[in-house]
Amino acid sequence: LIFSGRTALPVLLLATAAYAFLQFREVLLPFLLAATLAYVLNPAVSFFEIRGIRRERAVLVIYTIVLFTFVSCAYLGVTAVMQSASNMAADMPRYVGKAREFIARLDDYAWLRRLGVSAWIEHQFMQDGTTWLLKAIEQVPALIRHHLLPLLEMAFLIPFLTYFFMMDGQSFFEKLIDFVPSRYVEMFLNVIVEINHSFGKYLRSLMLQAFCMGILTGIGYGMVGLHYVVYIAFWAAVSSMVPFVGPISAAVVAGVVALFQWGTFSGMMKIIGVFFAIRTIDDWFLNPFILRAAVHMHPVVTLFALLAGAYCAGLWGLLFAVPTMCMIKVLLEVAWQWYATEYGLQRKTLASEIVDVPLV
Amino acid sequence: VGKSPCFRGQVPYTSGVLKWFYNYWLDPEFNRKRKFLQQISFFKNIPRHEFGRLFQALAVRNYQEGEVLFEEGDVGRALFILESGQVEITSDSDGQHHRMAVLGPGGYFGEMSLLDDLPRTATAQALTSCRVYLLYKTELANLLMRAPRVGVAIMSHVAEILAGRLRLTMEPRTPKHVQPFVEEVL
Repeated sequence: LIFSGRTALPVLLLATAAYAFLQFREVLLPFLLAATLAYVLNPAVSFFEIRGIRRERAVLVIYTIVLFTFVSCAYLGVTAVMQSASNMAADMPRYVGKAREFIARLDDYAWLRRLGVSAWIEHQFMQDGTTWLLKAIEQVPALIRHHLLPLLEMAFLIPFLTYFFMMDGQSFFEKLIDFVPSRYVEMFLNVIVEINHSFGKYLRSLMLQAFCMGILTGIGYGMVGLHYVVYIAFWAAVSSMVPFVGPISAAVVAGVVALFQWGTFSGMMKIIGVFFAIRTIDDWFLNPFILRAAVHMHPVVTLFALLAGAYCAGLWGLLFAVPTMCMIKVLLEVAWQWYATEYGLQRKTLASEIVDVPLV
Repeated sequence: VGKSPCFRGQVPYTSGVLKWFYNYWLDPEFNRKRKFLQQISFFKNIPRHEFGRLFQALAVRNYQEGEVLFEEGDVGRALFILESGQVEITSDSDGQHHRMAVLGPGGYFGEMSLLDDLPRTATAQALTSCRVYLLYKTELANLLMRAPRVGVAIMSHVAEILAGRLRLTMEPRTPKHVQPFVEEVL
């Protein structure tokens, strides 16, 4: 009954879209990123539009501001990274010495000595690690050849596509409605409206949470005096968009920096303490407020989405896994709601109130 | 001309700069849509500066002559407001085909679906090619939360219409001094 003629078409379209995405995911990626960016910026355009400003002018203003901010941040970021890289190169011998001291001190503990922890770390990080680093440095020109060009292509292509998505997104949607058969207009609008609300809430919550995580991490690790705190905070903000993996990866990065900077147990304990403080604030105060409006998913489903995303599209798949799963969940909910109302499964019974309460 | 000429109807072109500003930045379509929708009783209580929020909630659809907008028995989920063209509302009750109304620009239908998920009681078909605004139930719920002044104004009007219709059905019981008010609402 569910797969009647009326519902088979959307299901077939969805399946075709999923298959096409898997087949052409490399080509579709810049379009997907540009569409997401345009979607995130759309509320800013709407702010002007609801005040009677022409859409094209509003898009131009927002686009210029975002582009200027992005280029400024990129310039400042690259300058800061270059400066930090030269500082790091100068400090590297001292950092390595601190790390060696810390690893050597592990042998003071009999049980760690018996397990051969320090020898293992020395081998993994100092010998194998050095070999790996040398190999990685040798591969840099090849990596640049292979990845820089696509990255530059993306850097030009995404802003270009974003502009057109922002400019023509609304009229494209209006034209799309005209193509939908008249009897399915309401169904189509229902799906679009629900996805827009849920997906919009999720994206905005995610970005707000990433911002808060970046600030918290910056303050937390800054208070204990960790070096390169701005980069760690930036990584914490970006990686917090990937559930589970993100927060831990930021803590690992902070731990490695602490190992090289202090090379002491107390230093490592500071990092662990700050990590747990950030997690507590995030779980108890931020999440209940920021993500309360977002689509809720079971942790098992989230993990499945992450694994499937990583398998299908690598790093980008990890980033888009949860939003895609959210969209699928909303689609299923809308389909069920539609089915239930269509066949009267969830019809509210007000009969007793209508009949028994006198009409005055 | 209102107190803030930027977004209020006709603009007094007092200088070339102002004229350029209005032509370059302001959307003439915005004013046209606002003027049209202000005439619809559903939106009469919406403050002028809130109409932009209403536009964001409305979808537009063009229908060809003879196209069926919805059929009797379909579950309704949207209010239809006719901007141009003509729509015929018919019903097949008692085994007979009744023409209930022919609506022109400014007419609306399907307001009951903003309140419940019950099947439509009539069929709507375009007599000429027409342009229709659709207010979807979920969008109205969103308006109620995000722009309460707009949402409440629409909901109050739906409630007024329903209350008026109810009083009409129980006309023999309605006191004579109340009847003029009922007629005014309807």
